[in-house]
Amino acid sequence: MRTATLVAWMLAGSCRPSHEGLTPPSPLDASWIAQVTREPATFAALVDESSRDGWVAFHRCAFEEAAEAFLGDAPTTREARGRALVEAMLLYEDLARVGDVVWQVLADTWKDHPGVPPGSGLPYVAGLAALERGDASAARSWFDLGTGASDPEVAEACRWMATRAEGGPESDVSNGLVGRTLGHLEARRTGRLDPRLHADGPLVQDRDPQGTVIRTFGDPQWLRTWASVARHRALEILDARGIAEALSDPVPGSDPLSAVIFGPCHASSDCTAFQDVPRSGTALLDDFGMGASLPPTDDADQARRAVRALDARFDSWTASLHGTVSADGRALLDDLALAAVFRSRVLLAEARVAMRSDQPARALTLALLALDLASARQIGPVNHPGLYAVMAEAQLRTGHTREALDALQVLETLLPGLGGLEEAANDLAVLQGIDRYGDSKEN
Amino acid sequence: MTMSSSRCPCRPYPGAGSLAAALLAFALPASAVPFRYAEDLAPGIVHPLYTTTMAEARISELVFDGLYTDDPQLASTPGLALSAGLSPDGREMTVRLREDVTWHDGAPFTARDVVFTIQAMKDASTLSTESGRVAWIDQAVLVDAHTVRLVFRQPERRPEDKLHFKILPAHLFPETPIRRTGTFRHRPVGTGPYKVISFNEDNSITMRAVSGEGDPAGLAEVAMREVSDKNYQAKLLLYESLEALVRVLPRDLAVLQNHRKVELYPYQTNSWWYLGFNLDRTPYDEPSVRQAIAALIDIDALLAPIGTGDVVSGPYVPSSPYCNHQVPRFEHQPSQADALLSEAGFVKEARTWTRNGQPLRLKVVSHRTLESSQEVVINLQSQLREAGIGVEPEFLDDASWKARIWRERDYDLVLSQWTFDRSEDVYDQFHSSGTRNFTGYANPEVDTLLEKARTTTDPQVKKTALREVHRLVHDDVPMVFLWTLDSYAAFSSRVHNVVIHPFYFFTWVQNWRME
Repeated sequence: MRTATLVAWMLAGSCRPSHEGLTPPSPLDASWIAQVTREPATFAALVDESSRDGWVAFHRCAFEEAAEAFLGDAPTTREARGRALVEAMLLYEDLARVGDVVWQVLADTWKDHPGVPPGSGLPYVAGLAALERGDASAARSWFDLGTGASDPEVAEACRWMATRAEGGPESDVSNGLVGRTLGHLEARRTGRLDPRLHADGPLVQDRDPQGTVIRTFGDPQWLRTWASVARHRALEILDARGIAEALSDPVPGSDPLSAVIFGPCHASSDCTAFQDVPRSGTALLDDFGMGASLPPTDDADQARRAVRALDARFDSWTASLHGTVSADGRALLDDLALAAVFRSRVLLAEARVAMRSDQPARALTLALLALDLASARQIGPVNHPGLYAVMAEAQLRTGHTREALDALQVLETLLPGLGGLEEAANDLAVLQGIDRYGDSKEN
Repeated sequence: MTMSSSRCPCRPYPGAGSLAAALLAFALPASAVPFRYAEDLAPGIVHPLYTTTMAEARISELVFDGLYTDDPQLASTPGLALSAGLSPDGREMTVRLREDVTWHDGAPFTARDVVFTIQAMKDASTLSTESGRVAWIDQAVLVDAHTVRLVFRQPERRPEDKLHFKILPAHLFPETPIRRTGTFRHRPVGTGPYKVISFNEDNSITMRAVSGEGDPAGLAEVAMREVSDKNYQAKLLLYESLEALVRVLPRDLAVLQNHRKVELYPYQTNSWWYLGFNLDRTPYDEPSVRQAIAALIDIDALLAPIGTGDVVSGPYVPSSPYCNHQVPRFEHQPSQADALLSEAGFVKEARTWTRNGQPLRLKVVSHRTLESSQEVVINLQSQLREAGIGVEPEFLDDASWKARIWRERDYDLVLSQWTFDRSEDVYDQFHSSGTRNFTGYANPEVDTLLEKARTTTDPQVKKTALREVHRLVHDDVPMVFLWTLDSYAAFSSRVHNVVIHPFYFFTWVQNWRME
């Protein structure tokens, strides 16, 4: 993707507004794409008012980096920083859902066959993962099982969690495994991460009698902690109680463009939230032929038809726009791939909605169709990291664990280690094929 | 992505005029259009005991069945088996077979077919390339017409996961061993959802749905078309002279992704290209010579013309659980190569490396239909010639490939690609007794680790063992590991309900529909 071009354009300063008209009857006429391309000066003003580096990072989906770049308390900068943190939060929440599937299936499969290794710390990690997905009963069973762990600290942590899993006075993260677990809960409560909590390295290690490490397990709490911290920070900056409120009430005095640009809502007036996922409102989705409500069954073909309907209308509208805006507007449209970015964000929002509605086949199809296949293994302006998280979850939920690893591997470039998730997914892929002899062929 | 690549349903494809002959050749009345898919090369044989290429595996999936197969969640589910019981010690499994199955020639399917297939695969004289898939079975015993007892070498926990190999009709073979060159290869009879109707003069193969199999609204007829020029495949799909491409060239992805009459589906990703040495030939039996040649190859420059992909450092792709990410990829380091060749006794005279007066020359062999192989080999020739090593390229057809590479091992360096199912089991490629180990690689440490990986039930033990295999094999350089490419299949938008098996492609074909 043309980051260099983007930077060059942003550094070039303001552009003259276009006076050419555009009148196709579509809600998109009031969209951020129409505004930016018809009046490039508005985009230049937004960039000047906040942070070029921030918008460059936001455009290429480096949201944590963008949040760091949007400095200061000016309303537009706050709105931009808040949006970047909401994007980061959504990604971590996507990944936490991936982690829920991975840990649950991994622990249950392992327990079923070949059986939890004697003395292993796996039950402690499985118990924490069960708590993460809200299954206190399963957590209790796992912690009970883990009281027989060879590592005295793990065994003690399991005993403590089995009886006091709802919390306790200790919150010192230096206080062993329990302290670490409580440190996560504290971070989620306050929105502040204790620097003594380190994401790298395993949570639990199994050792053989000689002391050699034979198994390692990551910490299943990280992703939801990161999501929670990002949420706290976003809502604090946006002065909102929830994502829906933040969407409907941008920071007073902020540039309206900052609330929607490079996002799935064509205008803040048409932005809704489904389980915290910002998505276009009914008018635009109807205009796209997608429909705002999900089909009753999880149907990949229906999703493909919906995307084709969207493409037919959106391409037509975009072509019309391309022919009527100024050279500066066309340069923005092409160099920043605005149409492809918008299309990708709309499809990602709908894929997230499908995933949260237990329609993995639809979610997977929408995410795949949103990708720019010319650079399918790279996160970038079109290839939002959330697409890979949705694909990973959908693949896992449909039993295609090995395929999910492809998506997770792309995310590894953004979040090295993924808080231990990637190795857990690796273990699951291996475990599910542990009794197979593979097949291989040439070409 | 820019406006110039917006999705257009009617954009003429460059070079359309030259397609006329191909289009006419595939023209059919609309009412009679079968589901037509393209292969680069028609399978030389249709015989599940001698399947070495993906094209052969795909057609076997249409014509034959196994005792078990994958369900859409990729869990083992009964195919020809009806039910099974495992003995408490895990050493025996009694399999009850379906009684409602007939072979495509009308003969009933029985337990004798299962026993015969296993015995034939195990018979060393059969020379089956699939023999490794039954090596864990000690005996197959006929219990009655529809019951067979399998006795295992070691206790098994989920033997059904290994019982996916295809079953042959015993009544069409006089005895074991069977021969690859027998008539069955051109008159295959299976129990699968499609029966072979004809091998046609244009190398296409026509198959018809077996009556009573699946939903009658499914694909009534399937035709495998040979389209050896991969550049034409995408064009034929766009002109509706094909319904599917099993693998799209990376450079065609943008055009197909943006075409409303085409749908792309991700396909297997566990494949990698390599340059394999003949380790029984001098001087390629010398590690330093292999390392030198690896250091002379600019892999990025070879990859650039054929598409985007990830360079691999060993026998596992970067997203594999077994990939050892500490292992560096092969880098282009000419000065290091010079030092290694000098240490090995070579001298550079008149810009050519020689030893004992003999110039260093490589016979580089590739399969004629490996996509972009000619481009890669010619670029490789240029790189090595520049470095002082001669290259004799040779491109083989399928029959010559199997004879020269698999049986006679007549090559110095081979350019090819391995594709793996999700188990990513490289045992046959790198174990000294592996049935696909035509490079002659042997490392006792690797053998031990591969055996350990097959027997352990602990995923982390297996992962650790195979990551070590990745490192050891990289260091031994039996191959120069090249790259893995993104793989997508392309379908006409007239085909619905498509779910592709990540390896065998057609496993769930009975659910596919065509307008």
